[in-house]
Amino acid sequence: MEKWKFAIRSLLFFILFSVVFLITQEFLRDKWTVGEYNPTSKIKGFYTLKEGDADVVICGSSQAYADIAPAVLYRDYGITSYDFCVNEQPLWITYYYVEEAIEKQHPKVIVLDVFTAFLEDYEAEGVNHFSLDDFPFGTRKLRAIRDSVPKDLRYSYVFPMAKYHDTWDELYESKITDSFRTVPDVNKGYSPFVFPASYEQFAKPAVVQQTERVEIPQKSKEWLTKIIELCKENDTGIMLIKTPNGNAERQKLYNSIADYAAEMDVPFLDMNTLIDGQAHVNVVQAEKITRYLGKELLAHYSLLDHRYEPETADTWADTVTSFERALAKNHLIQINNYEDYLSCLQENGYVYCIAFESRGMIAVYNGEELCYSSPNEYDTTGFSSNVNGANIEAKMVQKEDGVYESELLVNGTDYSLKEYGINIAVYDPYTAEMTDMAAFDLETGELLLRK
Amino acid sequence: MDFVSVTYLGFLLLALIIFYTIPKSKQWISLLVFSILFYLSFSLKTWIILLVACGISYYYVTYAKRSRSGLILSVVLILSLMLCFKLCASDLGFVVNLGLTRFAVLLPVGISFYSLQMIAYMIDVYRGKTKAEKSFAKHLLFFLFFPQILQGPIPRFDTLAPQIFGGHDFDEKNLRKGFYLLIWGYFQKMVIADRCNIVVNQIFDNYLLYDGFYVLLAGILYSLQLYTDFAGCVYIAMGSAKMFGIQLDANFKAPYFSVSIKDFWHRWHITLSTFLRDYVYIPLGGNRKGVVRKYVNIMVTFFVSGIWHGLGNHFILWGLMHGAYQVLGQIFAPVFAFLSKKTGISSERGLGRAFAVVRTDFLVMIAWIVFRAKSISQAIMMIKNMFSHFNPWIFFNGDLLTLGIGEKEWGLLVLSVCLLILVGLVHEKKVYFTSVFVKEPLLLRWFVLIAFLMVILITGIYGPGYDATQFIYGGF
Repeated sequence: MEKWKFAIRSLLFFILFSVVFLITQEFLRDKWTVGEYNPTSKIKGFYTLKEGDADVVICGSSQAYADIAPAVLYRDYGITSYDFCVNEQPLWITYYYVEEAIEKQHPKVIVLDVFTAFLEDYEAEGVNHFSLDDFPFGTRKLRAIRDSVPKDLRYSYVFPMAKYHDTWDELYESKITDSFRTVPDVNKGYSPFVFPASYEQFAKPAVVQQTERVEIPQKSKEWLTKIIELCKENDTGIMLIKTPNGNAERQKLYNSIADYAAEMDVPFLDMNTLIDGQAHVNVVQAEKITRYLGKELLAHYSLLDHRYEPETADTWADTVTSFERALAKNHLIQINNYEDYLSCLQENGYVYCIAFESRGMIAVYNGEELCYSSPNEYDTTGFSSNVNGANIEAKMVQKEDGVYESELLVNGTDYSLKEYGINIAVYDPYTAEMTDMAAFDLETGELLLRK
Repeated sequence: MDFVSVTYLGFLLLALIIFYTIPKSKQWISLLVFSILFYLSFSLKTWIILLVACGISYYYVTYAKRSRSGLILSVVLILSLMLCFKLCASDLGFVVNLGLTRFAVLLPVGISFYSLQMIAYMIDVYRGKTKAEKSFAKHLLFFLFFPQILQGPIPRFDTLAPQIFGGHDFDEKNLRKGFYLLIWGYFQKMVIADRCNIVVNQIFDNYLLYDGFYVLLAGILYSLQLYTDFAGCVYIAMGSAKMFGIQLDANFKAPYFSVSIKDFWHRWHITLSTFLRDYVYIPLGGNRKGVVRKYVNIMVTFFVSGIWHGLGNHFILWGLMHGAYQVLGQIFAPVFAFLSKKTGISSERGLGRAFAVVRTDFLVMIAWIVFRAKSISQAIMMIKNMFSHFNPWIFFNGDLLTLGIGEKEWGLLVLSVCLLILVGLVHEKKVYFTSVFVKEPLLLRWFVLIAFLMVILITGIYGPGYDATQFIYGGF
């Protein structure tokens, strides 16, 4: 009897301890929810989808989530999709992501980017954590750990406390607030990379002319085969793709994958030989790549056009808006003269403050609407009001040395570049973020500085 | 299978469940089976070496226990086994030159401990103090008992054998007390010892870059590390054994509260000290053959202690330093007594005692620097550098943060040491926290236990180690 009492008490103690342990472990674990490399948001976002929300699930590495925008597939073709991809994910982990995608979404097609087919063995420890830490706990996760992590480190993936406990002395707020929060990913797993770049109309000749082949590493080939068989067993279509990364050397591997795909009777869309690109393209090029993929998907599979379904319209409208704002931002930051810049600001409905530094005059716009314009030079009174969700304070300030300087405060932070010319601070009311800060020459209208 | 592993805890749990579910008369068999499994988890090859040593001792106590030459031969054989493997694992010049280091992998786990245990047992049987165990299985279990095979304590047959061979009723108090000891051991090992290790390695491995208070700090932290590492493992061993209802000998009694080197050796690694006293010092004549011979015997005993700790000149020097401390302490004892009488300062109480403790700890620390250094020349240079520069500002200008642990970790270390001192002070009053804690209400105990476990799991040094750069993701 004494033994049983003790056993029950011990069990209760163990349960209590386990609860405290699991909560603490979740608090301490790294979460990647900000910036473009945010696997936590992407994985958690996937689990907010209702069954059947995505007809197409894109799997693979960051080259897929940087290049394939579900917003474009929906906007242009009515295809619902999700980028269920993680940074440099090896195929032996992708296999379990595909399993998960098939179970949760029953998609019509799995699109698999083959970037990581070059891997021969275990990925780096940190990269594995990206893929495995947010993957829901269960036998599937345990199998993924078994197949992707060296034996001596497996315990630290099953119990990430072993990995992250060292971070107790640098605990930050979002680590705790993001712990048990699962929010939909407005970009449906896509990461909009916004940066100026000029791409060629077609892929670079060195890539197109690459005809050599290298063998697909044994382990990658084995798991590629497993993924294809898994899709076939579940009557799910599979399309292999390679997003354009402009890598002529790696094209040798993609040529071999083309042979392998033909052998396995699965479509392989090698966009590396068709479209110019880099490891992670910007939103402008991503739009082009995604359109190409959309056409190919419709050519190979019969996919429904979901654009006219009212139940999905709202969430997809947000996704499309988010993409288009990123696109607009990417256009804006590539403009280097004042007139074009101003037109772009007006067309895209930005809130922006302009300071003519040399004359000490201020103007505030909401898209095309002028909200304020200085009545006289050296306007130290300026403007202070809420414009389309942003608290704007714009005025000239006289410094101790008598010189006037502009202050363009958006939500309390001064974004004026204080150049001797035209300073502009741009706020996007749709994303509630600062978009750009630029300064132009008053005479020539040429760009002086951008941050 | 290290003590600091989930595998060990699972192994211990399984061993306990089986131990308490089988008849009492068969319990020792389960201990033997689990001890064999535990030992095999390290290496099959070293298991054979242990069997050979056990075979030698068993043969002696069974078939030649009255033979003095048999005893000498058996002791020499067991010592030779120990010394040979320890020699191969050392970095002595001739060992490296002869390529003997390739046999280092064969160094059997716990050989230093079980060899002494065997020698003590055989001598006790020879002297008729202990009855020889007839069963080879039980003979094996006595040496192989898994909680103590790694780092001791070094048990005597008369105290351990009846406990491991006899049956034990299920007693919740034993399990609880054992669990508390286990946690206390893990705390010392993972939170204190392994954290000190980071700073100690940094300074000792780059000793040319550090002087003054850096060396003093390294000496203090190494003293702390050595104690908490060793005592931590012994607590884990004692806790594990206690859960089976087996009480292992205490190996430490707050050694850094010692008022003299002699006192230190009554508190530090007690089972080794008593072994050396009973089987080296007293057989040499102890203090029965005059003062000079007594001093020689002390020096020889500590010379043996040095060799037992490792086959390097600095280990021998470390042993001889402790021997010299004791000899000088005894030579100057009348002077100290005279000064004490004249000044009224007594090492028995108050500030006088505190001064004696600091003085002893300082001498011990100097010897530990010799012990930890890779060579005598390194040790001499470090000790010289400690006195050659006066740089107390390192404690205030943030330089300590360059030694491998951050500001909060230093804070944690200081708090942990305060807790260690507090527990030590309470133990000095013969109050044992396990006995006090076990009487507290259940919910309070659970709360404290879970909090303490979480402190160990969060702040302990273990796991693959977090390195933010592993997560820095560039463009692929």
